[in-house]
Amino acid sequence: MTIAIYKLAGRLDGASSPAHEKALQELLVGDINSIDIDLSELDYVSSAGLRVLLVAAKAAKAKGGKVTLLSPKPATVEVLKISGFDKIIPIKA
Amino acid sequence: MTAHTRLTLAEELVLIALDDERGSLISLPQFSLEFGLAAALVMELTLLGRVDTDVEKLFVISADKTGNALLDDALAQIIAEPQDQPTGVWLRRLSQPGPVLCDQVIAGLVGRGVLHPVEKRLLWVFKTRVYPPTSGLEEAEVKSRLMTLLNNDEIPDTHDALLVGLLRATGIFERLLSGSELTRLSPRINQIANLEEISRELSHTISELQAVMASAFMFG
Repeated sequence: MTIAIYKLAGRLDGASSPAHEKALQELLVGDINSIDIDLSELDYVSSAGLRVLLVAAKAAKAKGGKVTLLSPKPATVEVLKISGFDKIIPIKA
Repeated sequence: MTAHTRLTLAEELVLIALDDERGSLISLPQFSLEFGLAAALVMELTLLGRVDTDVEKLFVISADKTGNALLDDALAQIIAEPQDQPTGVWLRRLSQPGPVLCDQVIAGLVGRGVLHPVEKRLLWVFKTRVYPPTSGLEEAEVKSRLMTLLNNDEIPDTHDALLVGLLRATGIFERLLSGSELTRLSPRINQIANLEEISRELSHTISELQAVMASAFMFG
């Protein structure tokens, strides 16, 4: 498993999500099949933002890898838990 | 829009809610289809990048028209009102056309050649119109996609996750699946449906309305 690291900061919402979705897809080339997404500086995530994480996780899984969410802030953890994302995408504090 | 473009969530919802043989809507809990269709419009607008939601509110990202009359009408209503209202407010408001909303979606499916209208007589006197599928291929594809998703542990794509949320909230799964299938698949249905905030809000809104109606019925 070859892992890339991607950092999200500020807001992940409908306005910013298309660019992040594209960037995450572009990371999954060649040997890279997993992405560690650093959420330590992410302040806000909307429904569209959550979908970006899910799309990336689906693409990584299709390549035999996975997405891991790193160091989310408490507010982000709450949103991830409400939607059950924590059951699908591993989260590391 | 051509018959080759993917069906919208509202179209897939109505297609599954139609009885294949009779061509009329299956019996569902009161108002659930209207609320489901309102949610389907909001969901489609989120997929098209026009609106977004979080646990507190729905907000507009882009006022650009979608080219779909029903969606553009819903978007215009949302834009015209004070912003950042809870998603549930919009589910109630957009459901207000009631059965007319469903008729509009059916008309769209007829226009795309997915359904065809057939005149029937009820009690030999009253004329009624039903809408059986033209080929049945579209409905079969949607159901097959759903069953595959429910019977594996793959991460769903967003469109399918939203559709599962619509079918859960409207009670269609209870009609679509046998009792034992429903029991077996319920954890997976809930896992997928709960991924989406609009689906959670839709289930909550319909449950709340049904509780109010049950209470009104009991206490007169």
